[in-house]
Amino acid sequence: MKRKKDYDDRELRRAFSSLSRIEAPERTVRELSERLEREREGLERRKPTAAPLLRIRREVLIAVFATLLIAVPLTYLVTKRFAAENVSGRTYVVRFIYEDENARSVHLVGDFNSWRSNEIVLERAGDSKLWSAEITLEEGLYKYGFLVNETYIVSDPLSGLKVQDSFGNESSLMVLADGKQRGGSS
Amino acid sequence: MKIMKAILLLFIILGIPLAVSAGSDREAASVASAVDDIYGDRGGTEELKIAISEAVDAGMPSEAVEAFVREAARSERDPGEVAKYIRVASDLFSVGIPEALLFNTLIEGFVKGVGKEEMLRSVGPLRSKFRFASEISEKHTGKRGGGGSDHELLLSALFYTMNMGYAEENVKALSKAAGEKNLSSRAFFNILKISMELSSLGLRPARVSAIMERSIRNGTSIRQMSGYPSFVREGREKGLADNDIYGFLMIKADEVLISEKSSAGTGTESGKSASPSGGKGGSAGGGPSAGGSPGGGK
Repeated sequence: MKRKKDYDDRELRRAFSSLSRIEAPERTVRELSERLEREREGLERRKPTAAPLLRIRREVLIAVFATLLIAVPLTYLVTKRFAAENVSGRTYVVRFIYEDENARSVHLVGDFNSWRSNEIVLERAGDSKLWSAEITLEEGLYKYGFLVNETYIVSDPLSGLKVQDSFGNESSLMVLADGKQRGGSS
Repeated sequence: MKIMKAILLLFIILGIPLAVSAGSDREAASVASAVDDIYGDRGGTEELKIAISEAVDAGMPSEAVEAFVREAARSERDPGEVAKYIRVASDLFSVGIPEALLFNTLIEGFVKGVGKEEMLRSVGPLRSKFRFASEISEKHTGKRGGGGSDHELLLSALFYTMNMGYAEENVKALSKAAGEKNLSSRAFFNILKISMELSSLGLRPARVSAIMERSIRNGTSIRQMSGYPSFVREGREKGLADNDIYGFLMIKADEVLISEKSSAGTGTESGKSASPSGGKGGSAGGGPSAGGSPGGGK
């Protein structure tokens, strides 16, 4: 609520102007002068000695330094983590072995070659019953099997990992991840 | 000048979709001419060409479509039949299933001599499986896709896990437990891998899921869980029944808690270890096979 003024401005101004000049005691004037002098010196001392631009630069430098201090180790950690999770460049050399002394031919078929029957041939080791092939694969999960005599597909007897394909048949599954192979022949 | 700019802008706006459309038309035409090469003057290729054109328009890579048609022809599949597969694949591709997975599934069917009706029937459920697997994978990786990504790896693992007879609720339970324990997507991937190995050894998915869920909740390390398949093999060699193996694995899943308790000073059951051979400690390591050197080394 606004308080109502109980005096008149003009009257007040008149009263002030009619006041005679008051002479202060000499001691008070001296003390006040000394205090003013001290204050002035203090102000002088607090005056910036360097150019303002330079001061800003220093702040910027501090900020940049602080940012680098935090950003460099953080970037290193993030990059390291990303590199550990970057799987696209990881490759594996896998040897497949199949044992069958009566087979005339053995081919490797699987997700890695779109189940093309004539691409990967397993070589027979001399007169032995062992057939083998070696291929390079990227990290991932692959269903595969051996096409025997170009007539029937068998899952890998040496693989412990078997899954059902979408048609209810058994397929071998190979998991290549984390530097370890699961399910391949060898 | 303003008119010139407007015309140029119009050209750009109209030109991009036209160029894209012309590109896909060219690709489809190239695959269509490949159909003529593959099937020669055999009838019924018109339907196949239309299906190819639609698939390429839907965004399927023309090389993948062509490779698929070649494999289908090699397996002596009828052009009309191949057209049907391409239509189904195109439909599934539109919901996000990678074309490689679709065509590999179908070609695997060709190679294994699966009949047309059975193939079409089997490809159908891919949609729901894929949607579920995709949803779970996104939860763990926070990603939707990308070549060679963790998402893709986890997605495949989830997909094959479900192919092994794991119900959605089993996978959900594992995912929930892994999420609650803040396990990384790689750790969850490894858990699925171990689960698949255990199922390959004949343990029922529901039981495997219970063992793994318990292990996750008890804070068992992935390394410790990796020993479970060897443990099952050991049990089988000793002639243990599935129920006994399951029981022992459940005890193993609690081992971390027991050892934590004993180290905390409760002193109960200190050193207890489940093993088919009678308390010598669970066998560790040794997956179904070893090898495969990362980084391309032999």
